[in-house]
Amino acid sequence: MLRRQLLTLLLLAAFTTATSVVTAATAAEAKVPRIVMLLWRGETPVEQGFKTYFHDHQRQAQFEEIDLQRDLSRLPAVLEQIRQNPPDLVYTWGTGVTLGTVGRWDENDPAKLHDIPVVFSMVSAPWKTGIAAPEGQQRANITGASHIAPLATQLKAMSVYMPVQRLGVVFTPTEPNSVSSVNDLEKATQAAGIQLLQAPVPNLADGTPDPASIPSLVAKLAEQGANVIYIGPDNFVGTYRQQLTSAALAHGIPCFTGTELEIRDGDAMFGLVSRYDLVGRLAASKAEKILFEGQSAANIPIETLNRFSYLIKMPVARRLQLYPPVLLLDYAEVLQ
Amino acid sequence: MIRRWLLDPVNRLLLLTGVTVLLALSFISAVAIFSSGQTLLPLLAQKADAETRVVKDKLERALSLGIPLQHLVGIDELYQQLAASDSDLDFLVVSTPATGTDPAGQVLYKTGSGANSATDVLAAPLSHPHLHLDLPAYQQVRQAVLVTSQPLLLGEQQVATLYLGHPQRALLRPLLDNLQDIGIVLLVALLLSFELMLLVLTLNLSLPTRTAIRVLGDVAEQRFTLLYGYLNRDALGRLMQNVNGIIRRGAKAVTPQLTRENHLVGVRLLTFLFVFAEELARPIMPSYFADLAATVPGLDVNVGAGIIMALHMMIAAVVLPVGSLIYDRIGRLRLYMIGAILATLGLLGTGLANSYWDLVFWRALSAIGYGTTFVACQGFVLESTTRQNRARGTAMMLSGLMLADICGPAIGGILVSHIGAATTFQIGACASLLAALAVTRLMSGVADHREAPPKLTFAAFGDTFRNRHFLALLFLSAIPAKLFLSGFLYYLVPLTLISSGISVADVGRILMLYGLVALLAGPALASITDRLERPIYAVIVGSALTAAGMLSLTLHPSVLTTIASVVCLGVGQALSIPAQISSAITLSASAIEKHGQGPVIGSLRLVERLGGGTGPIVAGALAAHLDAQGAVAIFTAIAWSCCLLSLLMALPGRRETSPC
Repeated sequence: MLRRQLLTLLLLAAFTTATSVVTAATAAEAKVPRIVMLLWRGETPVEQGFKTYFHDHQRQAQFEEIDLQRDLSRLPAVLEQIRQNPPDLVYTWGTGVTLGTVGRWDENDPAKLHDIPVVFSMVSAPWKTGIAAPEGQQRANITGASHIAPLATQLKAMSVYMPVQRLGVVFTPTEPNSVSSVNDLEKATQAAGIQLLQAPVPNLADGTPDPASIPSLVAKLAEQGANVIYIGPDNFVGTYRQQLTSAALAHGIPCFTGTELEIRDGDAMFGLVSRYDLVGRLAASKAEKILFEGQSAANIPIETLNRFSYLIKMPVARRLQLYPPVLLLDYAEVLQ
Repeated sequence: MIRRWLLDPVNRLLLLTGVTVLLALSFISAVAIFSSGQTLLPLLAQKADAETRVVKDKLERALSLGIPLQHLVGIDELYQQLAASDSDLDFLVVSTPATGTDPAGQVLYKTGSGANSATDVLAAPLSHPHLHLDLPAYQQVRQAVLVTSQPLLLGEQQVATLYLGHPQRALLRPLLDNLQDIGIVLLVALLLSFELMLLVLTLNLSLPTRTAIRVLGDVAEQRFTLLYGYLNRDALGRLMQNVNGIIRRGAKAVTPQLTRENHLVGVRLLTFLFVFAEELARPIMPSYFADLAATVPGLDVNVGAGIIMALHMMIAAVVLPVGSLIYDRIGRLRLYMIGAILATLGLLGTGLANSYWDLVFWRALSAIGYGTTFVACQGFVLESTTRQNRARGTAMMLSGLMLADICGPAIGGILVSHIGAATTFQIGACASLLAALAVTRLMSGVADHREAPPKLTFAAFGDTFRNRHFLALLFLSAIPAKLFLSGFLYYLVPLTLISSGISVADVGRILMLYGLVALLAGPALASITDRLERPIYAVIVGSALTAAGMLSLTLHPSVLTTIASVVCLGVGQALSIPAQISSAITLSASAIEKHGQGPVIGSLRLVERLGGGTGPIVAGALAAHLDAQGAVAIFTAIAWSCCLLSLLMALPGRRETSPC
């Protein structure tokens, strides 16, 4: 009798142990990584592409979006909040947010994030802005996806549509990514035999760029004989895209853009852009490597897409009576 | 001048052959052109139809996007894109739809090489509509231009008409594109038909006539010792059978013997066949061998290919003396047949080889065959000639060799580009087999002039080699000449041309120039050399020409300078090779007095093969260490050094023996 009771007890103990082991294993497997997404102006197609990638690859993650509503002064409080409840990965949108989150590679600001892996998107010049460490140096927690086509390629894309003699550019001197882009543009236009006309946006008394100056800057460029206006990576210009493109349209000058927003949600006539959802997917592939394959962000290269979309906004072309060449229609995406 | 040229029966024969072949080929070409118009027009129409639909789609898309018809952009670029893939396209026109008052419509856009005449073409009446009944209604021939039209629609409404023009002369393009190949085939056909006509006429007319003259001369001198030995049933044959009857009756003291002339002309065709078989794949040899050499780990492909080519020449060189020994035992007929069969197997195997060592074996076999057939032909010439006409006999054999040098690479180049290297080797094997089959007919005959070839003794060689001027000729002219032939022409020229993207067919044509130039310039240059008191100068000028050609290639590497260097080599060698023999005889007067010409000529020909054998190895090794261009530069340096040293040796006052 006693033996039977002992045996029953032993079996019970074995069953309990086995069950607890299985439960623990399942719990470990089911631990869903948490991703905090720091956004400049709410969710864009980039984040949709990011999430779709996870869904398509059957990777589960918990996404927490924090919208900075185009106000970088909110960032320190957000970072403090992150530090108190650290997620598995932080996603950042654009140069300003990313720089504010991780700082330059060569400054060790304790207010920035250094321990949590950060994956950025929509940073046009990660090296020039100091987000990425220069060649030969490493930055432990940063990787991401860039979105701008090489400038020489963009200039070539412009000239496929129409001959460009004088290229105007309106830019914000207080934005490092914009300044870096204009510096590069200066070299690229010189090599292509194009005259570059620069129109920096002046600051208001509080040090912020003055949106009201945009129409007069465009008028000045028109006076100087610009036959195309270039819109590069510039958060301020991106925000006031409608003012810029409308002013250009009023002067009969087409705008060429390197980013998708100004053409889809503005009056730029043509552009060579990375599709936002594809940039998001590229960033997501890097996040996947960190979260599910145990790779360090430092070992994952920062990349840009190798395929770009040629966009033409037909209503603008019709208004300007600048029609695209027949052959360009073979590969361009025409927006009606 | 022309009359004098025409007096020579051989020239008249050449002219007759040329005119006959040209007429026949012109007729065939005319038929081909006429029928191509009928058969190719539907194909051109199909292509034009497809292109017009592509353009229509593009333009209609632009119109559907709201681009006004008058503001279409990039029509010229659209035309250029089409013309880049279709060189037959002549014009692209967009016009407003035809109306009663304006049947062609108003032209909005016209572009293309034929744009200026496009309006006239569109307004012109249909040409020969009864010939073009197969064409759809939207395709018409006007002013010898195929015009394809399509309506441009915006929604359901036609807003314009698109026209694409393709001139009918495009139908001749396949012919014009292959003009070079046609020219080569024509040239080779001419040379071969001349060869065959010469053979037929010599065998059936010339030799029987010559025999008849000998027999009749014998009768005229009342000797009655010779009988006409041919069995031809033509007028001459019947006449001579009657004469034979008279001789048999008239001959009292001696029994008259049947007599025939030896037909040396056969040796020309036999030499042609076995050399042609080998030369067919010449343009592809370096790269074909290099491909197989690449399968051997650690072996440089250039050196590997060079070794194979050198091996062939060395084995052929060794076979020559060995073959001479066997010749006496088994006779020329069997020797030639064995050689041709070995060469056939060797070429077949070369085409099928799938490893480097396979290739070594088959090339060796091929070389044994080549050497053996050469010995048989040479022996036949020696047997069939006397000291007086031996030079003519040798010339007969050499002309066959030269013809093969011209025809082989040229035809081979065309074959390789159409059917590949392996099959070309197999066609070479067929030519070799044909030689084996033809030998019984072409090498028969009575060797009534048999005379033992001069015996070569060590003492004779000793005397010959003690003459330092002869040695200079040997090492500064004879060996380098063969070195450049095998190393430069056969190895480096194909290698550099193929690596610079030239097609195998073009390589064949360029190699052919060597033989062609030598053949055309040879007789004139030989007569100049004969008039020179000191033929060594002809040797030096020939070497200088060769060196100058190579120098031009070294300084400005291009296809043009490669051609120039091949032509210079051809002229240079045509000038220097016959002059080498004359010089050797002139320079070795004392040795010749003692031992005859045999040892001098024999040692010249034996030792110069060193150059032929080492040429590809030297070229391959240099190409492997420097590159092909560097190898050419070294060859140029060797050529100039030899030339200058020869000149130094030949300067007046430095001659050992003076000519008689």
